[in-house]
Amino acid sequence: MTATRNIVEVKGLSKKFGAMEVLHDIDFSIPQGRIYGLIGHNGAGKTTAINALLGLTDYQGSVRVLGLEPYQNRADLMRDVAFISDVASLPRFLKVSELLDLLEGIHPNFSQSRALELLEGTDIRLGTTIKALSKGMLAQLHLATVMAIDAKLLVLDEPTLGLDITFRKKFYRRLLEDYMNEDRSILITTHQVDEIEFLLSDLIFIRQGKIVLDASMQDIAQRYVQVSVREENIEDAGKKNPIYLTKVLGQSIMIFDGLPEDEAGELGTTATPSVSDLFVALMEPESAGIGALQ
Amino acid sequence: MSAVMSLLKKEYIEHKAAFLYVPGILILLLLLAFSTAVWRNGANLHLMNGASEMGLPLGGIDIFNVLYAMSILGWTAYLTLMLFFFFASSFSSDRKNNALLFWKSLPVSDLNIMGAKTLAGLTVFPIVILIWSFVGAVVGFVAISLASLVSPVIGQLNSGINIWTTLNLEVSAVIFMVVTLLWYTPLFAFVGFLGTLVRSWAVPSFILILVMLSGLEAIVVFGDDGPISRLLDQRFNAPFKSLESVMPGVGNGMPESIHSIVSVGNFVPAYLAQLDWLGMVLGWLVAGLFIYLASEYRRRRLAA
Repeated sequence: MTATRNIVEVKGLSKKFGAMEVLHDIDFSIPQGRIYGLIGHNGAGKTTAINALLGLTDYQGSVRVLGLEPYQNRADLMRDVAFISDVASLPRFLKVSELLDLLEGIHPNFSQSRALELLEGTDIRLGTTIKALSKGMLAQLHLATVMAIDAKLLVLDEPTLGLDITFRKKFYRRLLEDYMNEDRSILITTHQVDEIEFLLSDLIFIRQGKIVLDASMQDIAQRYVQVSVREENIEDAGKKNPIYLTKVLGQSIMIFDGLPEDEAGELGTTATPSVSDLFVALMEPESAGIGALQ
Repeated sequence: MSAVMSLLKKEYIEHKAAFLYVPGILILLLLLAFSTAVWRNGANLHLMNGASEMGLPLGGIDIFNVLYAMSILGWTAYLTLMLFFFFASSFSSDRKNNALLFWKSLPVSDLNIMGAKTLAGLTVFPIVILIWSFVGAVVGFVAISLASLVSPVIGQLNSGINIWTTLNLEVSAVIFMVVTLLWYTPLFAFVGFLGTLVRSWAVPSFILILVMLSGLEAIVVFGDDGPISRLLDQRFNAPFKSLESVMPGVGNGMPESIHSIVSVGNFVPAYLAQLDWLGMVLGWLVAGLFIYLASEYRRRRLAA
């Protein structure tokens, strides 16, 4: 087994805007070859954390991306890091062909031929001005340009915001099939957590500037269990401290943290909780239905 | 294509309207106006009166080169004005276009991007305007030659044309334009810096700051000859004062013998000797400081 190195190492990262601290001393790391989902509510600190990784904002604490301190070395870092923070940020006065020419000239790791391959089969024409493209086409073009960069880390901050479900599915499938390999890492933030669940290898939940969960999907599957509790076991199940409770078609569903598999099996049918259910359980305990048991 | 060349190309594409299209339209409009004047026979009358008022003979004046020399002053004024607005706008255009994050996703520092904008302003666009001034000269030459065939007065005035004078004029024009732009570089950089701070309010801010500085100084020293006022006067007017001092005809109507004053051998050394080279170098240092400060401000900005 080959040793993987950390692409990102964050220790004690804090960020203040005036008197308001939006990130509170957070630690995490992203090894090579992993796909991380950074999930949180609006204002939780996701974008601020990403901006710190990308060298777009200053911060307190220690951040190393590919061994570099990002804020002082953004330009060097961007040789090996690609990101989309806003698909509407492509320069609108350029034609598509001009954009690709410029990127070829500016970015040493950009391949114009690769971008053209990725644009095949889309409705995007090289002679079209970017401002004439629809929002979906803009996203396709932006994705094609970042996927044509031979980067070690790809950061996507709400890359599919405002796009329809068909496009979102294609977007993520293409990312997995055409881009991801063992040398690359991807960090994604999105509100549509269920849509990216299939491609994630690791999950970070962030709430009010603090990390609530940082675990691989494998560990999550081992640690958390969702039980469709049989009617006669509801009282017993409630005593085992579920972190989440809901009713679906009259069936009581509970999520437990660290409940042994055999004990869970005695309560009902077990499964791995979905990311969205886990999100509600860990991020919004007040609305996780636990009160119904008390 | 290197990163710098790509960034220059980006600036050219983004701002080409003022430097590529508008000059062409201006030349067409001037040609149309001239053709109309010839067609209405008004040109004969005006030129006769003009030559008479200046005490010039109707013939052997080389009207083409005189008009070309005047057009160079016009092009320089146009270029200076357009570059002023280019710097005011381009330093913040990535923010206005909501493209700041895209450019920050590329392996180019904010200082390099600002430097490329400055370089584009001092090289690419002046070259485009010089090309237009040559195109205008060719169009003007053809137009005057054709007009000479149908207009007796123009024919008389055009009889002394000298291509050697035109070549000297072109070289002198390049030197004059380059020196003017280099002299104005700190003013361009200052309005660019203001553009990064206040975006579309850069030009009013520029005027307000300079007016307030000299106005406050005038109150303090109770007069208009304080150091700030003198500095600003020199910074704004030096290229043209130097030109006047070596081309006395410029300020006093049409020169009688244009060849004697635009001869490269005469004009260039005399013009360059008149310039305040210490002021020029200090201006570049100030410009460099403004560009650096603008890039540092941009480095700290994330969005519009």
